[in-house]
Amino acid sequence: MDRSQTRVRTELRIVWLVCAAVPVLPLLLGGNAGYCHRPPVAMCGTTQTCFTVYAPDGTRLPVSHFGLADSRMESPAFPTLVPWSDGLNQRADSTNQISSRVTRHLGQFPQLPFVVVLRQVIGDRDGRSVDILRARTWVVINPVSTVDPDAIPSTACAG
Amino acid sequence: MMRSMQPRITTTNRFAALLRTSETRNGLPLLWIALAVCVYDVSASSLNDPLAALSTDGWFSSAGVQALLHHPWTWNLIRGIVLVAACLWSVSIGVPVTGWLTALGYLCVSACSGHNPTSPDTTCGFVFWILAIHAVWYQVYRRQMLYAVPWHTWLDQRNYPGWVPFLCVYSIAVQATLSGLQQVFMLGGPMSGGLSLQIALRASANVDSQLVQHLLGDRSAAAFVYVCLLTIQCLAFLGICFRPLRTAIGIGLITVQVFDFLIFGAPALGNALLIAAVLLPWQDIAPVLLPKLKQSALSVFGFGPAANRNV
Repeated sequence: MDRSQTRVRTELRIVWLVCAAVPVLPLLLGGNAGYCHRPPVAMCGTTQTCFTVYAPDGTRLPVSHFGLADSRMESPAFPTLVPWSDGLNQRADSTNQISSRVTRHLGQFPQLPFVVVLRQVIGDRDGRSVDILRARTWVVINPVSTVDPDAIPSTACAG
Repeated sequence: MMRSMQPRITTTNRFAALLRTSETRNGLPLLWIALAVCVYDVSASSLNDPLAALSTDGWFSSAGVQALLHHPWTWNLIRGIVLVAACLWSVSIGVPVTGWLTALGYLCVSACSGHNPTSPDTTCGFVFWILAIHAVWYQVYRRQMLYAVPWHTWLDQRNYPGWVPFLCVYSIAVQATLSGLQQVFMLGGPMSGGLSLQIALRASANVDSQLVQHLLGDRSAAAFVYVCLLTIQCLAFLGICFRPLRTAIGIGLITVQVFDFLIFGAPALGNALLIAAVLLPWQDIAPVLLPKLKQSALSVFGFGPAANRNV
């Protein structure tokens, strides 16, 4: 081997470092970074709560913008980010908790006077197939919105 | 003195395969594939949706940093840097800086676009690690490249160490195994007897698909498919040490990614491409395949034996 022993040692150290980093980094960063490999089937459990958020004009909005991203892993590195999930047979957050979370995130969207939240619980129907067990729709008002909600036609909320 | 040197030599011999070098050009196809997937992901992620730029909710807890990252200008600047750096890296210009810019910029872009419907969630893990491993390679061998005169002679020099392809295999296998184990131990996947797969299908898959409808209506079939998928993922780590198993595991993981794409519509084809490039035995396939391709190409353009016979 024509390379020096120091060089060899450096390269081996790099190999060990990368070998350790590959499994450790996703655990540190959790699902928040969106970079840890997602399994094809991320939700497991007996029920799954799905959220859909609609704008006043009926447009479907990304749920992640309102703190309702589904099946997130908790990240030990960022304990302030509280994930929600009832995919693990845990009891789902109450409607009020969800509303307050959505309200907090609505502060970033002053152009939205309110959003419509649709919550569906999917689970076992007859021991062989699954279906929507419960569904609930409610409106969350944006307290910092600069748009008058009354200015929006009521038919626009059809979503 | 000799006695003290002995363990070092033994250690070196043990890892000789990792330290053995081959021609630099052998490593470039995988890098180019990873860069192509990276460029596709970055240009497609979150598009220009102003709402999508507001979705960073991990990593950077500081409000100031978040506000900076959430700004569309910052977002587009980072994406632009990644795209330019990737293009420069593909032709070995500005390395190793362009390599690090691409890898870390890609990480930043995937972090900023996390949890978006358009985000490259399922591809960014594999792509990031393969880019990072190649960036480390360019960093370690930067002197050889700088002193190569003319610079492209670097491609013919033996500067491609065995640890680069090994770490690529390792990163894919470990991530796939962790995905499988996460479901088995943390989420109780197979214990639900197909229910969890059915729930996932009902929640996020295209329910118009015939396969999805069949799986939704038959829990036994769902359980079988789920156990197969998890088994493939959980056993992926075997490909690290057992080379004969690597091809089978590669084909299995490609199947998982294709299933993910077809059923859930996830952008997993980039992953499938990378798995094929890393885990399939191209060193055995290429010597057989390339001459045939070359011959057929020559025949098509009228330079082959058939054309000569006609003359």
